[in-house]
Amino acid sequence: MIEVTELCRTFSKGKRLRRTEHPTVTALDRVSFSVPTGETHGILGPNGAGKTTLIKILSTMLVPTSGRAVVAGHDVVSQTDVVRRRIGMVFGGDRGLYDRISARQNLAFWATLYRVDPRRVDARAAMLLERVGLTDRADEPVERFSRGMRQRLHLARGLVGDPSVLFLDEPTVGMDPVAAREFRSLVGELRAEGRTILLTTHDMGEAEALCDRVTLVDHGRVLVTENTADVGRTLGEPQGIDIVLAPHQSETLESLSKLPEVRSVERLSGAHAFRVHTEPPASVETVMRWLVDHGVLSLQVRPPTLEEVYVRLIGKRGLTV
Amino acid sequence: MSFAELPTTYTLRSWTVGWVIRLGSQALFFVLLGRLTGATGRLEYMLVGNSVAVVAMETMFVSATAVTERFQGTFPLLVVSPANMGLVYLGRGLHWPASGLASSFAVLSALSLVFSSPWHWWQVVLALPLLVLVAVSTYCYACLIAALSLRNVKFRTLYPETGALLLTAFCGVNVSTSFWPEPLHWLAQLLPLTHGLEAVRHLLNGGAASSVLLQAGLEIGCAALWAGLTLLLFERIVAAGRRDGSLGFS
Ligand SMILES: Nc1ncnc2c1ncn2[C@@H]1O[C@H](COP(=O)(O)OP(=O)(O)OP(=O)(O)O)[C@@H](O)[C@H]1O
Ligand SMILES: [Mg+2]
Repeated sequence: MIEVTELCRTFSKGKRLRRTEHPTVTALDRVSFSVPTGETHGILGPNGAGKTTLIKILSTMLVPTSGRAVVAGHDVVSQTDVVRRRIGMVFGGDRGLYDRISARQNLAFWATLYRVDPRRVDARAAMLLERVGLTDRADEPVERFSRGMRQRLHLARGLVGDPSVLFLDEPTVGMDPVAAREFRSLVGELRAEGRTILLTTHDMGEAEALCDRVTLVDHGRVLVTENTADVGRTLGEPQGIDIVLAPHQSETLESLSKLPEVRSVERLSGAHAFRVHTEPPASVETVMRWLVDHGVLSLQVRPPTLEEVYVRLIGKRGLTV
Repeated sequence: MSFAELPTTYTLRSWTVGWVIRLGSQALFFVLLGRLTGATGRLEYMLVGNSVAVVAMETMFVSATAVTERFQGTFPLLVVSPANMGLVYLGRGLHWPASGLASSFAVLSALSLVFSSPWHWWQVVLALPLLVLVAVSTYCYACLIAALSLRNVKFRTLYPETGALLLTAFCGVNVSTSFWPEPLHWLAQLLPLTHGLEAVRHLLNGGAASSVLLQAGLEIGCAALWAGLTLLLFERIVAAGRRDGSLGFS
């Protein structure tokens, strides 16, 4: 459904004052990955990694410097028109809506541009409003909407053309947790319908909840593409052991953290609950045995969270840009 | 959509009270100037010219509508939609020529009445289709200027001001096009308004139907020319934006 091969994009830095000198920024550097039909795929990476640039190219907003990208079976450069009819685009933030007219009018306008049969425009708008839960406020000017409502309208707008591929660029940025959760459940529904979704986000929990697979990018390069649940294992990231200690076991905790195989012990939110990170990964067993020997009864091995993997992978480079 | 936005700009009262009076008084000013100069026919000449020019002034506002698209972040979304950008813009601001037409007709009728002009009321009514033509052609021209403003948002007020100035100065509003040196005279033949206005003058002065129709035809030609240029320019703006990455959304 999405097929990206050796995609590169450079931007010339600053204004082109002299034509001879062209310092450039490489936003995408030979990016390759593919997303099969029906998959929800996450693009993760730090600020400036090239996520938005990638989405812009795939949605025909930007042309690549080199390489090839195929969306819904069509080349994004040579078959722009066909691609445009098959995709929907949603980005986070406050912009992208006509503020002075109502939600319904916004959708009707876009439905017309997406060549919805004029007799069915009203019905389509009403259906989408219902779907994103905005029917009650449908006739109010959009400028009165909250961030969460705007974003849901944005999603409805992205769906007017009934796209088979949907691009979501940081769709929940700046939303409160409840609004973001509602939004996520909407995306979950779209995924269940079999649409192919490409999502960028800085929220690892969101990626874990929504994405079948993720691609980590940094400095315009792909670090890894993997099933969301397996990223850590593939990268040989250490597993964690969640334990609950009895109240009298504080000494156990102390000696535990002094074990050479234990990298760190993290306090979890429950009372006396901790997460033990081991190093190297294979030492999990040793530490487990030690824990059992010391009377720790509640323990569970769990794979590293996406956030842990992300921080270990990207965090290594520190704050340098 | 276009007409859905109209009430957000005008209410019926603000339209009548605001624009018609504002543009009407501008026309009135020139008419009185015409009377001051005293020459026969001068008053009528300026009356017709300035009344018809009202529609040109109003269509120019489409430029402002277009520029908000840049600020609202909807421009890149239009680019990735299956619709043709130029056609979308031509359709987006259609309420401007419509309201401009109404303003222009109102001003022409009112001033004709006040200055008890030599033509009959039915001639003014007959001028309505010609005003429609002028509304359309100046609108196509205004859309081109809107495209320029979109490309270069810094000059978003300069472009429409200049565009409007060209029309009022060289298209025979206050002085005949032949007043200007040859090159400008020829430029005026390509601008919208010139021929439409000429057609209205012929009609009101009881000229031959054929000369009215000829001028009307030329005005249609101008409309097509400017519409074509607008579509072309939009295509180029989008292509350039996709190449240099200036289509952003944050
Ligand atoms: N139009 C442009 N002109 C010049 N440089 C650009 C342009 N767009 C992006 N860049 C550069 O390309 C790189 C990638 O930017 P991009 O917006 O794709 O990152 P991102 O991963 O979306 O970051 P964020 O998480 O902050 O949204 C950055 O270094 C950025 O400065
Ligand atoms: Mg981004």
